[in-house]
Amino acid sequence: MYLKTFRRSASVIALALAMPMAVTTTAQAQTVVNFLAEAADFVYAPVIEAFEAANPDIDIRYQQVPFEDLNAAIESRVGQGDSSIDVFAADTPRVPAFASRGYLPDEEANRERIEAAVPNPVDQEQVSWEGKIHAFPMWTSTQLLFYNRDLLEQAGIAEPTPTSPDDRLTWEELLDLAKQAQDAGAEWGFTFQQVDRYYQLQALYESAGAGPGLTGEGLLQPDLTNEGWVQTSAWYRDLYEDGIAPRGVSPNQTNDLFINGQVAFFYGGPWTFGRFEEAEGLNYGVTYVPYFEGGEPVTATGSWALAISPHAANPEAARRFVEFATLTPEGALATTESNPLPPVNAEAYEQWREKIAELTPKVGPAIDIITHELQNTAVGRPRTVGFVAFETVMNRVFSDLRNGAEVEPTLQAAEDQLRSQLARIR
Amino acid sequence: MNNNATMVRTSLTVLCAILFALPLWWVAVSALRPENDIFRYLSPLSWGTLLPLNFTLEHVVELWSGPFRLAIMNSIIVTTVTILVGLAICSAAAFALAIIDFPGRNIVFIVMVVSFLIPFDAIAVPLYQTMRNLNLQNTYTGLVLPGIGNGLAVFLLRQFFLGIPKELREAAMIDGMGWFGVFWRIYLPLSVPALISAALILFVFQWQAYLWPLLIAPAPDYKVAAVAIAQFSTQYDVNYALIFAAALFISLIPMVILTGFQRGFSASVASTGGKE
Repeated sequence: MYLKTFRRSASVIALALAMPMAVTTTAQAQTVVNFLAEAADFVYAPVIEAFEAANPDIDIRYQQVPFEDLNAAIESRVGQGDSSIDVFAADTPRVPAFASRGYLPDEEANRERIEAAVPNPVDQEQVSWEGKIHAFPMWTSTQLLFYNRDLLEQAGIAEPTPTSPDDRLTWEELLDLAKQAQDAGAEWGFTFQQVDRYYQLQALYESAGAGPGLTGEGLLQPDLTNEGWVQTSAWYRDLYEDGIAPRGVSPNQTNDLFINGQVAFFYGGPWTFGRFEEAEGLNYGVTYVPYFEGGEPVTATGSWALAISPHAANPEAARRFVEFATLTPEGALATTESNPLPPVNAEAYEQWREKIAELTPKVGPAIDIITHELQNTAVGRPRTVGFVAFETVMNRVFSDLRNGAEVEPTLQAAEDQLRSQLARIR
Repeated sequence: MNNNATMVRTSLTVLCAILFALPLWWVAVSALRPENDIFRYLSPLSWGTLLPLNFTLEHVVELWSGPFRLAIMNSIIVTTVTILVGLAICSAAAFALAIIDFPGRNIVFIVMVVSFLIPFDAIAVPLYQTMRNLNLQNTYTGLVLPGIGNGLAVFLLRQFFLGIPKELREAAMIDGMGWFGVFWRIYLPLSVPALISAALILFVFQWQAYLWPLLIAPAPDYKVAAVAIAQFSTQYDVNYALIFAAALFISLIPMVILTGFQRGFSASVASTGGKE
């Protein structure tokens, strides 16, 4: 019986294999721009729709690749000279590595227009390498401290209402409050949203004056065993050792802890507003993120830029799309319609802030906090071709510390490993 | 005593079955509860951990009304074509290597055996370049081609063909049958269990393929289920509800196939070790 099925089915094989060839040879009147990025389809749908309406001769075809695989896809496709990718989303800390390998073209000719549309130097730096611009800045990110009003009230803690950036809590004060909340019944006192990720934790070390962990020419020498790194790492380890924050939770599960009322204070970003606003019964507010006493307030920043592939089949059409999405206010705003991150285009930001300002009566002045932090406390990740190797090792270090590893041996081992890895890159 | 031993054995078997089924059950239950409830009942363990207290079909409906429907159809098409074409090619290759005596036969066989020891990931990027040169990006052909020549399937079928008595072949050839007739009318009908095993090998390779479809066919029209599931996870958010709902359906198909063909598969495993 199986064999008969096999024999009968064999006759349809040729047809099945021939079908896609027929599909792919369909005549196309428009110029096709293939766009590779990591976000869900609906995130870029508004900007693609707006662009195609204004440019009916261009067809933007979006190809989504999971976040974890995007850089591998860029390396294997753009890196191999594949002309079927015209535009791709570039994670800004990876711009130096991509630019040095020739995956990003020199966009210096557009510097004046980019600087006019995106005046914040931090955002310009995010798309630059060795003094040259290589991509078009699109979004940025910042950090806020979220708190559960019900858990604070239960513990008799006064809301840390943000009156001024100068009145922000210190980490020492915050952890005291977190312990109070736990004593009154909260399961956990505090958590970072992006636990164990350098992106969010870099600010701790910068705030303590310990530096980003890299030094030297091209930021290719690890600097993890200085006093500041040892002390701050011990602080991070103790956060979990003392039971204030939860072990065994991945960054993708922390939102749920806050939504379910299991944690009193939550260190997150504007991207979390979407789910928090959808959560029924979640009574929360926001304030400025803490800093270490005696140190400086610092917040993580950086996000995605758009880049034109140097091997693009249709570079002119690709350029029109990228410039629309980043340099024009209507295009830049459209990229944020279904996306939780702020645009870096200054005019679009003014319109975006009105949308976020609607949250103020409910959660506090989130937009004022975001604007202040972006302009005054934002520090990007190190601009180095060795960032990917560095970040990979550091994320593992943070994970080990969270699980209780001894601080100094862990940092020393990471420094030794990075010294060898970064020397090869150099 | 015997009854007691049977009871203990049965109890242990049931316990093992429950332990194996629990993770899948939790996935199924998670697909049928509100998103915010998925991790709510994990600690401490309670009835809510394993029962959907707030039952909802919202995620299943959302899953099937989105691009996942097309992705799972693509997976079924790609896997089916791979099995049919792959069986034709692998069985013909195995027949040649087992029955037809030609110079260099053993060398060809060794090369094939070695080929299935090389991880596919190691050859994916150069293979992608070849496929790109052939303009096979975003086509079913590009998705299917790497799956049809499977060294393990050839090895399995060759070993099975070697066990078929050569007298049958000699008698058929004396009666005037050619090589194709011997292959089609004698060897294939006698090798159904081995063909089922080979089909399962081809099925598993293609059904769980992730890296290759991601490279060769990222266009929405050609996306397969494994890639579609990964896309429910983005940088800032993971939609566990949709991931679990999709995982449930993507597991059901192999489960049905393995259950349906388990007799054939067992017979194959048993008979490949025999000499007759």
